Amino acid sequence: MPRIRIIFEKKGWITFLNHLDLPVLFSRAARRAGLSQEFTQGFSPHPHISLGPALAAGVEGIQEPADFWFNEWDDNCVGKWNDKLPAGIRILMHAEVDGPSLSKLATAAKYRICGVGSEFGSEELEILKKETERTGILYGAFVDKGSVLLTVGDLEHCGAGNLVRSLKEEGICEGWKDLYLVRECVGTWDAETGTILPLI
Amino acid sequence: MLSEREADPRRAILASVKRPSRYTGGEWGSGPVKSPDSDTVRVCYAFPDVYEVGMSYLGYQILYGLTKALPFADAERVYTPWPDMEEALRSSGTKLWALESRRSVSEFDVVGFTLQYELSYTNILTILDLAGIPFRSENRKEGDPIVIAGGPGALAPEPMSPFIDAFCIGDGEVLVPEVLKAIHELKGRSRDEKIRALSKIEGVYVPLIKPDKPVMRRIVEDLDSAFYNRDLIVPNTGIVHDRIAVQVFKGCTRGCRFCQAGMIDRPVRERTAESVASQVEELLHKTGWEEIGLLSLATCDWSEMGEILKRFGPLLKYNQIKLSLPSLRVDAFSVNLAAELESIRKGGLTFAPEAGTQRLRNVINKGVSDEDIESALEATFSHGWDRVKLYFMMGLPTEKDEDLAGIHEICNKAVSIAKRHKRRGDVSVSLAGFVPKAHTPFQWEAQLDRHTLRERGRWVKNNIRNRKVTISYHEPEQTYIEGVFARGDARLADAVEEAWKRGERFDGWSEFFNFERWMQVFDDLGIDPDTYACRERCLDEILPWDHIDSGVSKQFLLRERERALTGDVTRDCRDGCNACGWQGRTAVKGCSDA
Repeated sequence: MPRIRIIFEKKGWITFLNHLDLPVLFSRAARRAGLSQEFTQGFSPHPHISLGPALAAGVEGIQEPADFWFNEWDDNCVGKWNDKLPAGIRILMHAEVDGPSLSKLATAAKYRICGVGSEFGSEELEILKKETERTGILYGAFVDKGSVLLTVGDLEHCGAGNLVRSLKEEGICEGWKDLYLVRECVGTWDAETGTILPLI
Repeated sequence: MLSEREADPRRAILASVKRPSRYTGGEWGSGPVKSPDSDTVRVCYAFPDVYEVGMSYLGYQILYGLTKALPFADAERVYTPWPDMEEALRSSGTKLWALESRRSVSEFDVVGFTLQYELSYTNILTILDLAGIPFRSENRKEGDPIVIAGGPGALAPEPMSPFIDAFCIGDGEVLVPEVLKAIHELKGRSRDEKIRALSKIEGVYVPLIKPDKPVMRRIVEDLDSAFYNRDLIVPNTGIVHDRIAVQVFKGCTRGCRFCQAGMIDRPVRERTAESVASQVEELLHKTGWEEIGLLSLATCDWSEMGEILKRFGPLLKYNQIKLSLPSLRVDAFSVNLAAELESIRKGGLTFAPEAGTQRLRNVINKGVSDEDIESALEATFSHGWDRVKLYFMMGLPTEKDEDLAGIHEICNKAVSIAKRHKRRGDVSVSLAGFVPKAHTPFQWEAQLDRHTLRERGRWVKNNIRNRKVTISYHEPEQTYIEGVFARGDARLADAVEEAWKRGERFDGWSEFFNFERWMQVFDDLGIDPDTYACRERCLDEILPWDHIDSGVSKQFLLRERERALTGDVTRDCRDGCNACGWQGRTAVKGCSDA
């Protein structure tokens, strides 16, 4: 049974869709495309899917990973699948994979954060660095084109929610509504090169 | 630069509310919006409850597809914003938008509501207000949308009549194309001309133009040749009924005397298995949904059920699809049917005996005998289910203590049958207060007052001596307000408006329903709600819905009321015509030759 890893984007208003709604959304699109997914065994069989680390609702995802198991797969499948996905979700890359699970591989992510209509600079950078060090692992942070670019590890504990809360507590914003957050990539942290290795 | 991206201020609103995907649209099967420069009649179907409930309503899936298929019309949707969203829209001065084009609801030619439930009436005002549409027909100006409404509430329309320009009485499949065509032909003309034109369509009731004869409910005669969905909107997020919904028949032949749907949706019109099967196959392919619900008022009665199971047998066997029935008839046949559909006995089965004794079931003409109940329970536990849920009503006409005690007897019987089959045998009972509804044989009866209703509910709950049985009863206050509006007149519109102004929203949701506020409103307006809910009507009294002709005659309702009080059962009309008023009035099988 081929295990297919996809890298997809989540853009526009569909970013407000909850992460946990994605398996059903992808599965229904796969059914519409005539693809045959592998089902889990047991009392309540459901399509075998493994999502990447949770992306908070409202955060745009540029390169999000997910693994799907199919009964059959060929290279035409991804085009058919893309045609049946709702607007805003698009598969950018795919590959057949084996080896460690996504949760083991997805150890780092890069966030870009700024205000709605306002640029972020050194003050916001320091707040976000401090918060990341407190809750997870900080791999790198700098200001780029009016936004803070943050490379973080320990994704389970270091999500966008904490970052937003820290900016709110420091009086930078009132909450989610004043911010743009983009997760630019998710991958494996490589200490040697100091970069995030792509999952495909 | 990122900070300058998407200047739409609505993004900030979405980022500040719970479950924002309720308001984003973009579901598979929705849209595309037809070109904005054409002379299209733009309809916004507005649902007076939250997204998850509204998206589960098959009626709007049908009307949406039907409207989009008309060359001169286009459809979009809006659902009632949850109170946090309402607050966010108000505080930011943002108008409520339709999901597809994101344009304001006020910019549509037509806004259509469905009146499914009396306790959703205040939500209609929320939608109108957030769209900036004046509440009352008489205050609307040129450029304001035409506000139409359908659904069962349109057959007892008076409490909402000042707010609605035109009520569609009957099946939308026939009425909506005619209504939209009339509006299309008068595009650019005055509101007054349009509303006048609508009042001339058979089945349309325009409150501002009093009809000189009763408005006759319109029906689809042949469902197979009427519009049905070849595609559906598939939500991105979980909803209440998350599956393909297909209507297999309209109407019901059983003639339960309390049931408004069974009276106002006559005559029975069945679809063929062949037509349903080909529709389902197409929808499975187009939607990607993995479950199908075969809907009707009593799907187990569908004469093509066996045939459809044969058609879907192979798919069901390999778990590729799941077929579900919305309600099970109380008998062994239905349980065996459910057993065929579910290879794994998850959860339990639900039945509605409605009343605890044979006497009272005869009064309400619920054609269910003690033997039926026993055989249904026997079949349930022998097939391996562990639980049953039982629905009963209290406050039915002629109800006595022994009828309530009968509920206990049925529960105890269920537990002992389960024990015999070595099943866990958990029984949960839901007790609803009976609300007499318009166009039924009980439309003249007094509704039981809420104190007595609560006493009876408490008595049933507290006197069950079996730990396997749990009993809950509905809030008598909500039942009471539902009863006030179910048989209300136009005076009640003031109460709806005033209660809304004082904050009533989502009255069907107990966390928002505020009974004291409603009673204060009635008091301040000098309205006695008891005269609507708890007063027995004289049989010759003119009723506020007498100008709406459901197709069932008053003589029939009176006859059925008589028979109810003497405990006489009326046969299922599949077994012979009972002359309800439809005989000879329609070409539908069984009624034309009666």
